[in-house]
Parts: sequence; C-alpha cells; structure tokens
Amino acid sequence: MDRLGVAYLGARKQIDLATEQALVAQCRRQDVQAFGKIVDAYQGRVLGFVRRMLRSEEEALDVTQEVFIKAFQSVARFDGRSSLRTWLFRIAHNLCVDRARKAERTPDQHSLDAASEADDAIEFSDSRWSPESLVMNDELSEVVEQALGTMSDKLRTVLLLHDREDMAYEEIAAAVDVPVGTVKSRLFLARAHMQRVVGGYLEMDGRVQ
Amino acid sequence: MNSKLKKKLVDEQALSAAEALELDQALDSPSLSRALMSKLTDDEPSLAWRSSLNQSLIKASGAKAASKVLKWGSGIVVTAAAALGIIALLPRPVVEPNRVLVKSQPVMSNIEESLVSAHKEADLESGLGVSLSQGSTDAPSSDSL
Repeated sequence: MDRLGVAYLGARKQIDLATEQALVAQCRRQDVQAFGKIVDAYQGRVLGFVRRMLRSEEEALDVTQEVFIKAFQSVARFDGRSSLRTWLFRIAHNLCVDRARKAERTPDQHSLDAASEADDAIEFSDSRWSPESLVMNDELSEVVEQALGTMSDKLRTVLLLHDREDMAYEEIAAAVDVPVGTVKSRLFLARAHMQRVVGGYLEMDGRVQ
Repeated sequence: MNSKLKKKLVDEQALSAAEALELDQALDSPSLSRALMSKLTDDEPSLAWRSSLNQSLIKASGAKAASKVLKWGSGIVVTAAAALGIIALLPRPVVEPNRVLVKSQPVMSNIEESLVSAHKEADLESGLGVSLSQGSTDAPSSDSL
C-alpha cells in the first residue's frame, strides 16, 4: 500500500476504507486533488465497464468523464451507506442507460431474444475452468468480448459487476436498483451464455477435452 | 436445472426456497465466466483524457465556488437592503437643537445679564458715586452752565 492508502491488489488499484472516507470528506470541500486520487483508483475499471456497456470507445471515454464529473459535483450527497465503488458504478450504469435511451437504442438491441436466453440457461458449472488453467491471449479476449457483446444489457451489467468487479449481490442490487434475487437470476443466465459461446470456442480450439 | 426453473429465471419470477437454494449452489460452483473475467485487462485512459477531465473538474469546482460566493454575496446585499429598509421605517427620535438652545439661552443670558448689570452698577456706584438710575454724568447740567 502506498502512502495515499491506495493498494494494488493484483494489477488493480483499491482504496482502503479509512482512506476512502478521508478522501470523500476532502472532496466534499471541493478538493480537486483529493478527487484525483479517487479517479486514479477507479478510472480504468469504470472505463472498462462503460466501454463494454456502450461498445464505442469514443462514447465510453465521454461517458466515463461524465461519471467522474457527476460524482464530483454530487459527492456532498454521497451518504456512505454504499461503498464509493458501488456509488461510482451506479452512476456509470445510469449514464449508460441514459445514453442508450438518447441514442434511441432499445436496451436489448444486442441481446438475444428471450427464447434464446432460455436455451442458454444450461448447466455452466465446470471444474475444468479455473483462472490458473486459462491463458488469456488476444484471440480468446476477442471471443470473450464478443460473448459480452451478444448478451443483453441487463445480463452484461450483472456479469461485469459480479465476475469482473467482484461486487456482492447486494452491492449490484443497489447499483442497478433491482432485487437481489433478480441479480442472481441474471448472473446465472449471463454465465450460461458465456459458457455456451466461449466454452464452445475453447473446445473447438482444443484447449479442453 | 429443470425447464420450469429456467423459465422462471428468464422471466425474473420469484423463486421458491428450494429453487433459490438450487440457484445459489449453481452460482457458487466454479464457472468459466469468472475465470475469464478475471483475466481481462483493465482499460487505461490516455493522459490527454485525464488532463481534460482535470480541467472539467477544476471548472466544476470553480463554478460551485462562484455560485457559493454569488449566493453569499446576494444574501449579504439582500440582508443589508432589508436592514436599511427597517431602519428607514423605524420612527426616529426628533432632535430639535434650536429648542434646546432657546431653552438654555434665556437661562444663560438671564444669569449673564444680571451678573453684568450687577457688576456695572457696583462699579459705577463705587467709582463715581453716582447711581445709574440718577442718569449719566457726561451730560452737562443746566446748573453748571
């Protein structure tokens, strides 16, 4: 952990709770430098989430800026009931939804239809898949991004927040404003879709028997 | 997982306790998705992007401070105007300097006059042996002519 209380867990930055609270208190006094530390810690993660939700690099950069500006302007209203990370992802999610609406794009434009999602709902539990056994290369990364891109927005949101951001079901429910049970249902369907698309690729590629 | 439960998941319907348990068990088991997601790299915005964000934040901070100053400033002006209005409407104590002078002057002049006249009388009586009431000594009398 560095002197600013920013820890680098794996390759990802994370602010400890005490530092987060101190930074938020400074930000309430419109301290741009303190807010800069929050941006440092979360910019990559928020941009990654927004880019995968919007799938336009340029738009994602704009929206990510908007997320942080909005957060800075409304930090006085941040009551600390949720974590700063949950709050930032809630803002990001809401802005992505707004963008989709403004672009007159239905939220599920890129989604599979309901019948297809039902077909996806297969057993996805498979002990062959562990982070250690998988080597992510550009091609696999591309397949994963494609799998995300062919998923409905609501499934993709939950999958990214849970499996990518390690957020708890309750945190996701607060960020997306749906019940915890709905979060679990969506996560199940999203994983099943990922299993079908990427699992199929891995088996064809001969990475698994 | 049975088809009834799958349909409930797709339709986002409420699950029974047994179904919820089955779902929890399925979610807790190892999944390809989780393994893959942890391998994806984070996006890193450019320095130009960050610089642009910093400028926007400074602008937002300045705008907020300015609006605060404006709020305070206008508040002070309104308060001052209200205070002036109240002062203007209050009944003022009537200050009449002339009357005070008029009242005090006669007193003063009476004392002065009486003192001066008493002094003059005493002076004349003692110096010339003539009382002022007997007339002036400068004027020649008909007897002396």
